[in-house]
Amino acid sequence: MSRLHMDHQGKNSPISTVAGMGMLLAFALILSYVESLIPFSFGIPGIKLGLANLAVVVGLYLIGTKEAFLIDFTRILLAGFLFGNLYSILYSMAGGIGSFLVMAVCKRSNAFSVKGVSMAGGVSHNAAQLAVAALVVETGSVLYYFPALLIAGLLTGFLIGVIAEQVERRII
Amino acid sequence: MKWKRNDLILIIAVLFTACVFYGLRIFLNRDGDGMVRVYRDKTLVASYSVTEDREELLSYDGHFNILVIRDGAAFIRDADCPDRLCVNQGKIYADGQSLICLPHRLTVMIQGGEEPVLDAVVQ
Repeated sequence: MSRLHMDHQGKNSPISTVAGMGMLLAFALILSYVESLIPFSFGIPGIKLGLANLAVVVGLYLIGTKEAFLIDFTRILLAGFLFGNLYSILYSMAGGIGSFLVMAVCKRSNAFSVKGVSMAGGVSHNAAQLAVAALVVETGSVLYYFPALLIAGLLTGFLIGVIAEQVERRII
Repeated sequence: MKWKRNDLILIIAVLFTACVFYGLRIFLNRDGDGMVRVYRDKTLVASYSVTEDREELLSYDGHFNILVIRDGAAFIRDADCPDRLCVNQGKIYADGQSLICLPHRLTVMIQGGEEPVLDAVVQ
């Protein structure tokens, strides 16, 4: 059930759902752009803030699961072509889809707060990307980064979750 | 800020997994010290631990290279090859680094051990 866009009878209108998705997609692309501007490095390759995930988490809570998945998928494809290359699309897809599935399940289970869902997403995002990296370079030595990436996913997921919580509270 | 009990369980579980993997990494690295491998014509002829200081005379068809392993690094101290490029290549210490003497068909490589240092990462 969409809570973001209801018409005056309190029902979902498909048009406002589409409009909301478009807005969130644009939001996600802007966040991807902002992130590509920040020379943000922890000294470990692959750690990103994952700002664009904010749009996906907000979409998950305000519109719905299917719609948020579409936003996630489209923004990875578009951001990949705009700011990255085919390899970065491959990595982002693995991370994006993996984390989305985990977040959708966590959200549906109702066991976690927004922050918890977002943290689970951040952690699984990094785990999925690392798995793809291990497959691509065909060595297990990238697992060296696993502990650092787990904690990084927890931290970035927490930050995104805090913001998403505030957005969710204010937008309704 | 609202928290649910499961959020905290999630945090603790992830931190615990990270600790386990970190511990595993340290444990696996203990006996995984770097090895200095010497190849002649791509076949392995000798293998030394990078942590044991030593000096080896590697002879080839009447010619020689003197391989020195000291303080966790390996280098060719002297050789009678015409270009002496192997001597000028300096010290190697990180995983994957190599010393090569083409005239003597010699390759010295480090396998395992220290992580290679990146000069820069380009996106």
